[in-house]
Amino acid sequence: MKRAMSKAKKTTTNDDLAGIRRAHLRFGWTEIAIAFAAGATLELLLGMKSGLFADDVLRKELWSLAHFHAAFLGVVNLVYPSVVATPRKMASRALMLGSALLPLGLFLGGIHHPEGDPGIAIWLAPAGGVLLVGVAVAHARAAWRA
Amino acid sequence: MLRKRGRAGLIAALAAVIVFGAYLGILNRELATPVSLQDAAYAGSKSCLSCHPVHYGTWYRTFHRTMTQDAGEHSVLGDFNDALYSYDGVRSRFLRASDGQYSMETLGRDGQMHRYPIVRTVGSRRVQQYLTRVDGNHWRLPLAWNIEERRWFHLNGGFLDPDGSPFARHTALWDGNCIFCHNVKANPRLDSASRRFDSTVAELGIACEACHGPGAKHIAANRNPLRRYVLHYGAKRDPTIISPLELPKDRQVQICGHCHGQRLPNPPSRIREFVTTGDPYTAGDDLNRHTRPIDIATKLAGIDLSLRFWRDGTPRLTAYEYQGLLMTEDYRKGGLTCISCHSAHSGDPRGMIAPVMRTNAACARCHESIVKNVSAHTKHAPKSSGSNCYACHMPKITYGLLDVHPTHRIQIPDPSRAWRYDMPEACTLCHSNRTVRWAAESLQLRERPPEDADYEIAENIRQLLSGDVVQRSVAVMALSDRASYTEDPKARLWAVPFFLITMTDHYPAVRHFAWRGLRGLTSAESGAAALPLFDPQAPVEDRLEVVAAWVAWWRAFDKARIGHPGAAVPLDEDLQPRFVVIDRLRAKQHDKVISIGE
Repeated sequence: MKRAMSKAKKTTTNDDLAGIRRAHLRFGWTEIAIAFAAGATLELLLGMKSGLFADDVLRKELWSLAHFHAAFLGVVNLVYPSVVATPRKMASRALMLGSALLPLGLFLGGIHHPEGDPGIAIWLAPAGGVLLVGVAVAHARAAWRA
Repeated sequence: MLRKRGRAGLIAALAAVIVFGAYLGILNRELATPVSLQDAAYAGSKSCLSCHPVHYGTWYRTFHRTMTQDAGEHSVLGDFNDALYSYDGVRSRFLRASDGQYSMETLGRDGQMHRYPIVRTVGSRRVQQYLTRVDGNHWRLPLAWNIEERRWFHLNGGFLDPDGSPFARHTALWDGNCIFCHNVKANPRLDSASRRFDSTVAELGIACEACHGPGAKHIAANRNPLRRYVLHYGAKRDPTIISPLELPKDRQVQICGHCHGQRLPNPPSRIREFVTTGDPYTAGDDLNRHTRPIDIATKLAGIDLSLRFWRDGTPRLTAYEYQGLLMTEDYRKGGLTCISCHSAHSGDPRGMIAPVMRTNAACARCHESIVKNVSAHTKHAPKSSGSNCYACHMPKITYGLLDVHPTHRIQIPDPSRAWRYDMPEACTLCHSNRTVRWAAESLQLRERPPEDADYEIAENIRQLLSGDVVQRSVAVMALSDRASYTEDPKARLWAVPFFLITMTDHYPAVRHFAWRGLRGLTSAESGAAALPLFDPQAPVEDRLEVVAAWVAWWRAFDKARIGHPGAAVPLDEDLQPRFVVIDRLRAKQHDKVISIGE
């Protein structure tokens, strides 16, 4: 464990830590802002019974998921620097990339899609998901080793 | 260290790309390999829903889906609330028990009254028929529900049977006949020794796999999302399923022709195979390997099949649309197929046709210059029914259960067909007050009709009075058609005496059309609403009483604003029938009973 900690110290300076916190704060709030705006737009579309949203079951599902994931992952990014003692650059970048790719894939996959399947951009979502799982596993491992 | 990691990452990425590329190659090879669907299992329409929700939904609303259903609250449309219906001296009852079981009490083939439990329904658009099960076999019962008119009727009045036909004429075995076209992949499973059927179908009604073939292999293959995306975004088609649009035109029309083109096993001796091991045809196959469409030259012991066709070979019954199309130049030389106009997934479920395809726009895709300047082609006003492509090229000359439909043999109108083949022709179906000579002269044909007094009579009236049962049905429906030489119903009221005469016809189907025409044309006229209603299958004395009331009404009717239709129509100045001519023509009626075969 000591070795792991010293390794982290080697790769992450205080400046880096401040930079990571700042980056997550910016990313988190931006993602939440986008998610809230998207949520309001979806509610408006639903309220107006817009066929664009209400008539396409798959699109409705994908966009709702995109909205939810963006909001949730935005919050995760906001709290990330506070709950991780020594965030690593790579994990931090992976978290942000995953947090962007997953809702983006869901959103783009719902714009124009073949019958029964999301559009090809949906493949961004599992890619983002893999990154998020990787970050979670790395931190879970570190937490168990601490 | 970092450099090492970077290199490892690069190698891993390259390996991933190579593996992915190789997998795509394997997928592409797999997609290029034909798959036999003969041995594939049927999966049922519900299994299509998760991947094809739009297609499932558009099929779900069609009458194809509800062609055959298990009897239940959701499917039974007839009045089973202890309703009564009398025909030919038999009082039938329609009941529903407290446990929801529907039953029909009527005369059986043994001449005794029975209470038959209803197990399945057939049809859901115009007519609903009912099936019962006796000793394991499904039997079609002889009374059916007219959905549009909301009344019971006997099938002798829907099929072309004259008065006096046996009550049980249409009490028919379903397992060995109807089953083939009204379901997916039927297998009657006849046990020759016991003569019992143990029929099975892949699915009741006309469902996805009737047109797309068995789906089990397709479903299994497409559980792989990568395969689906290669199909979605690539140019390859999926060999595990049939897409009618991607088939050559003959195979494409055969999918519809499998049911919309009555056929016999090829050779006919294969009938035993059909009824014991099932229908060998699978969508996408060559239908001709298994069956041969019935045409005017087809011979079958005991049935004169030629009566199902006009003498020029054009089918005159529905369920022969395939044969009509095969005779059409637009199909033979052009690319016209069933789905050029019809669609199983869009438009009006009645006719399975988009509203725009009911207009000249349907023809404009191939005949753009004609449609653009339609008046020059038709010599009729551009918005009139005379400039409607269908009216002249697909006239309504085909009898189907309780209706007359457009022919699917698309032809150039030719009045000479009237005297060469004794069949209706487009010009005088609309211009019902004109002779065929007038039509020939108007089109400047070289040929003229024979010098015969009959051809001096308005052609539609001639066929109505002297034609056979299909001619009379077609003619009487044409008299009431809004697509006429005049859209003014008042001006067409001269037809009333002919409706009244036809209401004394000895075929209930023809009487039904006459009554429908009379009601439609006179609905807005004073006093007509108070007149008695006509039941085409009521006892003769009841019918004549109703006709007499209508005759009296017509005699008293103020005809000043109608106008005489012309000398070719056998009516006097007061628009009363000239019976000397009418009786002479009616004496020429030559009826041979047509076996419809459904």
